[in-house]
Amino acid sequence: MNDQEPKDLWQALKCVWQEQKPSGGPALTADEQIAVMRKKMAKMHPGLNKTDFWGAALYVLVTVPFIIYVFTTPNFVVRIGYFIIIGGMLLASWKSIRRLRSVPQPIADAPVMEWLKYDLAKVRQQADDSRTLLWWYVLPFLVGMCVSTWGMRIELMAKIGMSVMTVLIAGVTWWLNRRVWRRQWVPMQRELEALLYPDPLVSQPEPPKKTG
Amino acid sequence: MNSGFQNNEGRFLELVNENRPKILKICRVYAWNRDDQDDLYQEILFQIWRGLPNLQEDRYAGTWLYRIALNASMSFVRRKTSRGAAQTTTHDHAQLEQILETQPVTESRNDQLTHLYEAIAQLDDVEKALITLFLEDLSYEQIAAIMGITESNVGVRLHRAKKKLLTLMKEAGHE
Repeated sequence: MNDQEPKDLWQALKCVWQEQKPSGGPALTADEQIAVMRKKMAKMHPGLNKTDFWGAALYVLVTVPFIIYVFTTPNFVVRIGYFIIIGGMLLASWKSIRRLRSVPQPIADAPVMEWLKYDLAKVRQQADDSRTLLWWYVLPFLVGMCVSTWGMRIELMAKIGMSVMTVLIAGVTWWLNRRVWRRQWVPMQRELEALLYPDPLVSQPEPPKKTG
Repeated sequence: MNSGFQNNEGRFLELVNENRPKILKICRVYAWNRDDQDDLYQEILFQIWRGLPNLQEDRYAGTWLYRIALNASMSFVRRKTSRGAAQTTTHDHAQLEQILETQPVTESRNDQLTHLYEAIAQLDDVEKALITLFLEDLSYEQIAAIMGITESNVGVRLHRAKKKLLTLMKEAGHE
């Protein structure tokens, strides 16, 4: 293959590429297209998106019963256990809100690499949260539940049973998250890092110059 | 106020109509089935709609649109992957041929185009972007502005992507 061949080949490929007349895309009239855009825009609330809403709703749903228990239970140790659980929930909700807010999204027409950097920052944060879930989510729940269970005036076997159940739930939650971290976040993080920072982008080093 | 909106609507429709082939080509590069392509097309249009007030001068519309389309496409692919969907680079030769056969071009050209798309599908997201922009005949300067890297970096990355693409096409027995 001589030097001219690839140039001709690329020229031919460029021609093929530019001459294609792609059809497709949803067949909408101008008015319909504008209506679709307006509808999509209306769905976007500037302050509260769907993820924020459901995340907050879930934490409220889980925390409210424990707040009620705190005020209704007469036992001090049980109350401490519930406080630990509520504290853990607050920490978890704070972490998820912080995750959503801490990486500012670039504008839609930012350079491609800037968007990839943003994606990488988000994925790193998700991966980190998933990796450290044991400390900020599983452990406070586990400790809180065990403290409240052992503070209750119930039979020993019931306490053991409830504790084993709690440990099992915590264990499965932790295991599932490790799985997501390993299978989803780590490969995605590596892929983005490879896109942004490929192997040394320098060409072959120049041969040393002869002296003297 | 109202006329401003109408102005923007007109500008939007004009921009989309003028650049429809470019947008559709990018959709084909990043999404490999009809439904995904339609979804991605609408997503790109929505990002154009949202970003239009930021477009200061129409003479920059070309690079501006490529940025929007490529950012939307890469986010779309990443979203699909994180939801556990199959990689969009999965080859579906029959489907691609079906999409391309509507085109008024000769059979051999259609074949070339099919193989070119198949080879591009095996590149990574950045290489796909670089090759697409190169095939659209954009200068290194324009590609650098769209990608947010230096021109020399464009040169190195593009050289690698082209080499990889040719190898892929050779392996598949087409060149």
